[in-house]
Amino acid sequence: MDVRAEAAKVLKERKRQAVIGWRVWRRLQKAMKAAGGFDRERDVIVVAVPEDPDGEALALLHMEHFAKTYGGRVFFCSSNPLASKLLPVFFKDAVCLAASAEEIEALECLAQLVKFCGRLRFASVSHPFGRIGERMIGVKGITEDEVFAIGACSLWKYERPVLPGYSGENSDIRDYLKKAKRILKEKTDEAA
Amino acid sequence: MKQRDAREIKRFAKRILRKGISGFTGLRMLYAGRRFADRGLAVYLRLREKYGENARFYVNHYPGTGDIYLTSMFMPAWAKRHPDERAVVTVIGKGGEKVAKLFPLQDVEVLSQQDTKALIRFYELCGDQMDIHVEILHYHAMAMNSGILERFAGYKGLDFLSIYLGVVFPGLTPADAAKPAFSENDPAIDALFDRYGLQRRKTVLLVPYANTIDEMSDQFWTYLVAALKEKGYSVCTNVSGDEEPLPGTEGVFVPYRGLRQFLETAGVTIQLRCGLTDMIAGFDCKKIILYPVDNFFQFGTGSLYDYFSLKNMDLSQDAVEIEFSRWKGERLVYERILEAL
Repeated sequence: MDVRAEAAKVLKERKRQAVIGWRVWRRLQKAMKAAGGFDRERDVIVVAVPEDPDGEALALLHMEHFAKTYGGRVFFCSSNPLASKLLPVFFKDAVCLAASAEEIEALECLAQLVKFCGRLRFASVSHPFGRIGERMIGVKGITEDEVFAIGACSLWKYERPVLPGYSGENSDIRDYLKKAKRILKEKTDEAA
Repeated sequence: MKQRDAREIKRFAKRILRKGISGFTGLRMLYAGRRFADRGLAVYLRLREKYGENARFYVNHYPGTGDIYLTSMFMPAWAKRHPDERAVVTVIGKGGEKVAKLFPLQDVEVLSQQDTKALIRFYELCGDQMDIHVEILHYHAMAMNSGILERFAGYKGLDFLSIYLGVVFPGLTPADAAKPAFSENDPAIDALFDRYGLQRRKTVLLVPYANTIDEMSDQFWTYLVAALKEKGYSVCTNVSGDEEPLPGTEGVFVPYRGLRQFLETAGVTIQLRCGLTDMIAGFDCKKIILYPVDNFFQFGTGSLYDYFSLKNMDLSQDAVEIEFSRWKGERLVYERILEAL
C-alpha cells in the first residue's frame, strides 16, 4: 500500500476511535455525576493506561497527593478488574470508574485530537503517543517518579509517595502491594 | 402559583439550553480537531512528495528565534549521526528561515503556524500506527496535547540548553554545536554606522522587546537612554517589522547574519532576555542581559534566570546578567547597568 493510502486509512480509523472516545467520555461524565458530580475547578480524573501497568501503580501511590494538590475529589479510571479493591487501600476517598482497555484507548485517541478536559491525567510518562517523558529520566538526576508526578500528573510540588499498610487477607492486594513496592523503589531511584 | 410555574419553566429551559450548548461545543471541537488532523496529513504528504521517501522532517513548533537558533545549532551534528536519512528542518516564517540558514543545514522548509500545528497533530494522532517521518524539535510542543515536560524548565537547575540536549538531541553535547555563519566584513553593516550617525565602539544597541517574558517599563528605558547619552554613547534600538524605536534613539534593523559584525563594532548591547540573546552570547562586546523576576508566563518551576541564564547554559561567562522586577527596584537595575558599562 502506498503511503498516501496507508496514512489516509490510519487517520480515518483514528478519527473513528476519537468519536468512540467522545462517547466514552460522555459515559464517564454520567458516572461521575451519579457519584456526586465533577467539579471542573477542583476535581481530577486519573486514567490508568493499560499499556503502562507501572504507571497505574504510581498513580495509586500518588492518590493522596492528587487530592492535596487539586483540593477536590479524585476519580480513578482503570481497566484493571482489581482497581475497585485496590483504591480504598491507597486512598479511601477516591472514586473508581471502570472502563475497558479499548475504551481507554479510545479516550487517549480523543485526548490526542482535542483538549476536552483540563483535569484529565493519563498515568504514564510515555502514553498516549507523543509523550517523551522517558527521555527526561536521568537528566540532572531526575527520576521516573518525578517525571510522572510533575509532568504527567501536574503534581507541582514533588513528594515521594509512601507505600500504604495493609492488614487484610486478600492475596491479590498483597501481591499488588509487593509489586508497587518494587516499582516505587525502581522509579524513585536516581541511578535508574 | 402561575409565577412559580413560569420560574420553573424558565429554569428548565435554561438547563436544556446549557446542556445543549455544552454538547454542541464538544462535538464542534471534535469536528474541528478531525479537520485539523486532515490538514496535517495533507502537509505531511506534500512535504514527502517534495523531499522524497527517505526524508525526515524536524519540526520547529514555534517561531521563537532562540528555539530555532539552538535547534539549528545541533541539527548538523544530529544529521551526521543519521546519514541514511535526508534531514529537513521546518521553521515558521521567513525570520525563522534566516536564523536556520546561519547553519549548514541541507534543507529548510518554511511552514505557516497553522500547518505546523496541523502536522504535529497528525503525527501525535497517527505516529504509533504507522512510520511517520517526523520529529518535534522541542520537549513540549504547544500544539501537542500529550506533552508533559513543560514544568521541568528550571527544575533541579535544568537550563534551556540542557533540556534540549537531554530530551531533543540525546547523546549530543555542547561540543557538537555548529558554528553560525555570521558575516565578517559586510559593507552594508558598516554603512549602518554612518547612516545613523553611530560611533564605533561607543554605541549601545538596546533590545527592549521579547515575546515570552515581561518587559521593562517605558519610564525605565527613557531614563536609561538619557543616562547613556549623557555618558557619551550613541544609542539605537533593534527594530524589526512594526516595532517602534525607543524615544530618543535610532531604530536600526540589523539582519541576523550581520549581528556579530554590528555588535562587535558598536561595543555594547543591553537586552531584555529574548531569542536574540542566544545568538549574541559568544560575541566580543559588552552584553548586559535583563531577566524578569516575575514569572507571569509560568515558565517551569524555577526562575527565568535559572532557566535562561547564559552563564548557566555555559554560552557566555562575560555577560552581565541582572534580574529585575517591573514593580519594584527598576532604579537599582538602572544603576547596576551604568556601573557595568
